[in-house]
Amino acid sequence: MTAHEGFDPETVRWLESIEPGVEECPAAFYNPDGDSITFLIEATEYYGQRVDDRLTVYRAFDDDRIVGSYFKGVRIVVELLTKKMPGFAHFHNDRQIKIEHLFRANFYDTECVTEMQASIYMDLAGQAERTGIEATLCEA
Amino acid sequence: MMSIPVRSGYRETLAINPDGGRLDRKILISYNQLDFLIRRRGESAHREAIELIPMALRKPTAIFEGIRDQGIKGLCYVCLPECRYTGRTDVVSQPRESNRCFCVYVDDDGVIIEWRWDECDGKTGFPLAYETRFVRRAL
Repeated sequence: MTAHEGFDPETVRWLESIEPGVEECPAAFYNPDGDSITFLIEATEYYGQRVDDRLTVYRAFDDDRIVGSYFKGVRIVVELLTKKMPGFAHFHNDRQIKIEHLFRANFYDTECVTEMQASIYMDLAGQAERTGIEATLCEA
Repeated sequence: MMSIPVRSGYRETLAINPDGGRLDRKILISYNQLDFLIRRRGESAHREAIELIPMALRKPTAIFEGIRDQGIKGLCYVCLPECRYTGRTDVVSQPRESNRCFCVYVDDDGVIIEWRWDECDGKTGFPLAYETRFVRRAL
């Protein structure tokens, strides 16, 4: 790759300052820019498979198992679900949300789901439940 | 040219501007997002960030505008690298599968919100369902 195609040296140094592979999975990250939650179950290479407008599941390149997910529109979903299902408010506060609750509530609120979509939502919710993963909803 | 302020924790870089095809579109990269992925996924994510993200931004095979399911104008930069990286500590490259493309998603503010390998149509090299997921192909 030529310099023109790559990042400038200062940006590369900035990126290289990040220590790779020193934190473990599972883990979740709320990105305020995309209002999204990235949920990593395993530290492996993956590709995205779009499930619906909100959810993309990450599947391992080697055997297509589910290794994570990307959930969009988190604040909107939390607000909508809290209005529709007042009990949902007991499962989160303004800053912390358990990922499993987000998956389950969004799934139960979706009218038309295929068997495959249901299976993916339940798989992710189960993995999130077992690990008790939470995300902190922060500002950009 | 779009002008965006560089915020703390972000770096600015240039990408191909779908309006005219010049390398003058300012894009912001979030340190926190990179930090989360690289510290967990390891070297392969590092190589994706250093090599594949700029490749998508500067040598895209296509740019799609309007990410419908996010309800934002946003952009999706698509590229077809020759290889992908694997390995958390010792990284090796493997040939790219013909039904995978590398995508970088950018929001209305010019911030990268996601990058990943996506399923693609082996003939066009575009992400699956690009006709419905995006408003239009911009480049």
